Amino acid sequence: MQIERISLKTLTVSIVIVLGLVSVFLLFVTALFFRDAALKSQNQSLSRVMDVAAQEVVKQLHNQAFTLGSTFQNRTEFRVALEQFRQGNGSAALREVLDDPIAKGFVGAVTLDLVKLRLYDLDLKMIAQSDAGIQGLTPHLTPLLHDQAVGRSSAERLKALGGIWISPAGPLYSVLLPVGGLRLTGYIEVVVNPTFNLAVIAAMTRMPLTIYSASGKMLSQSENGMSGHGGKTLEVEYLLRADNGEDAYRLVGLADVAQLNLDMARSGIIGVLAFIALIGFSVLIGLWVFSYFLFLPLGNMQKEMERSALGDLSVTVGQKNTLKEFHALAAAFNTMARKVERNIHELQRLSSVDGLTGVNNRRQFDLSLQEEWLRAQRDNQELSLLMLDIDYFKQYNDAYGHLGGDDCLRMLSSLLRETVQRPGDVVARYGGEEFAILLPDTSKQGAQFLAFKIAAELAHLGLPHASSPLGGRVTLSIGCATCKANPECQPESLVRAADKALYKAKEMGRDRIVVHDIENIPVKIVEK
Amino acid sequence: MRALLWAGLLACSLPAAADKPVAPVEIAGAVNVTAEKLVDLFATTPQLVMIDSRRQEEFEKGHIEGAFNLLDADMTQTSLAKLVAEKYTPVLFYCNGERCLRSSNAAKLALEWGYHKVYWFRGGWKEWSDKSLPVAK
Repeated sequence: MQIERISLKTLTVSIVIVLGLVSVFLLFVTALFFRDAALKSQNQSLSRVMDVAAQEVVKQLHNQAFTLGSTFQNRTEFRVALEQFRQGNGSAALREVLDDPIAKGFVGAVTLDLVKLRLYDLDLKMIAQSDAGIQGLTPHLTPLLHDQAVGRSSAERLKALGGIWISPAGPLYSVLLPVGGLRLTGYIEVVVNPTFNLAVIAAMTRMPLTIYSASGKMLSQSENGMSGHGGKTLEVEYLLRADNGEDAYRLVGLADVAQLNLDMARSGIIGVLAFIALIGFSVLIGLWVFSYFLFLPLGNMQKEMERSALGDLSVTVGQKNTLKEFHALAAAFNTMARKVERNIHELQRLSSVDGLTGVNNRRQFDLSLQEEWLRAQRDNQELSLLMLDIDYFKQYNDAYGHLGGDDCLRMLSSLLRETVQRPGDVVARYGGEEFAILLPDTSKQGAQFLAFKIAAELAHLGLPHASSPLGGRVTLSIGCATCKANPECQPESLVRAADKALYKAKEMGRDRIVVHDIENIPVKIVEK
Repeated sequence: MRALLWAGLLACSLPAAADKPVAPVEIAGAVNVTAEKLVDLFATTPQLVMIDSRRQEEFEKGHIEGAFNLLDADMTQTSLAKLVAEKYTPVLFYCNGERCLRSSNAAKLALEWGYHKVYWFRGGWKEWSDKSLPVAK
């Protein structure tokens, strides 16, 4: 595409529209970005909620297991069985007592999944464990609890410890309680399955929840299902770690984000529409401003400059209500146009004026003759022509020099200009010492009268001409011709007739006026 | 406006909160102990008598193993003497914690009555159970 074919208006409007479209596109991208950010933030918030819920569940679990352990060791049958064991009667009775709450239940069994009860001596060496419950656990205290329990002060040893640990069968929670109250005799470990309690998080957080082990095995799924609803749900994940830092559980909840999506979509649409309206409004305002202050003045200037370029130098390029630059541009152009106009007028004048005498030259005379002849023909008027020649001008030059001759010509020109005063009359230097006077709308008598007047004025002026045999004064021979402009009387005929009359005047002895009657040839001779 | 109203209500409620009873930090003549010190004292002082100055129903829900229940209001020189044989016998009082004035009252009474080795567990039952120490029911 050629740049010359694109207007400033087209370019500006295109740029504004492209900028507007790019802005809207960026707004859409930004809206999507904010939507993702909002969902991410929602995910983080819900993950934090799950974190809090999980911590609360673990705390409750600890308290319930602690209560179970405290209650259990106060049972008489336990104390008896423990005493019997210490007296060397074997651990069968003790194991039976330890089995009891697992096999037959206990107060609070609906809120706690008890999987093992294990008994340790003061040195944390296992002395018995329930046969019932989960199988395959290593026969010693979990290393983390062991590390926490050993080396404690006497008061600290009475405090219960607890934590999540990873068993071969999966994650478990153990609470280690002192046995014997303030008179410490050993420890009892209450082992529970936290999965049972963690499922409560679904109700606490009001989210469908699936619990996975660290290995990815699904351990529990809430009853209200985990089916997604095509973008209306957000998968929220929380990693619950064991006390040694290993991942114990992966909790995956499904949050209902339909309302959030709806709110975000609504906000997005409102934002986009508002922005589009803003852009549209800005574009309209911008275009109006551009149009009023730029396109309109520029268009007017363009038209006016084109008119001026076509030759109408009278045009003034508009400067009103325009910006500073346009004003300066128009002023500069107008100044230039005025100078050109003046120069053209000067050139026209120079090309139509005889340099020596200041009257019209031969070229201008020919043009004027054509124009006046056409006008006379159109108006059915008479047109007269005087042809004047200075008598004995060669002798005048010989006597006074060419400079003197030039002075004579200039003086005669001044006389002619002063004598021929009608605006339409044309005085011209026809060549050498010969002058022509074109007299529009002038009868034969009028032309004759003017010829006499010129001759009289010249006589009155009395320019000396010592070499002239006609009284020592500069004299003129004048040929007059008049005709009604028509096809029979062409401009050339008029010139020829006037020329002929002049010739006749010369022939008859000079210093006289001869009128050539075109309509009544031969020539009528008028003596002065 | 609503915020101002809430602020006003909060301001009014503050003196009320400040008026709630708080046990003295120390009792002249009595020895303050924490839960840990109590455990050590129990191990090193077999003749220590622990008095739970709370109501009976609170006591029955859970108490420090080996403690006797004697409500401060019911405590007389006679009833205390039944539990603490001699004026030189170490005796320890506790109740629900620092918001409870029963044990401090009881300890002051015991001092008035001439008991020489009075211990006071200011943290009381709250501190004991918060630290997951052994309980009896």
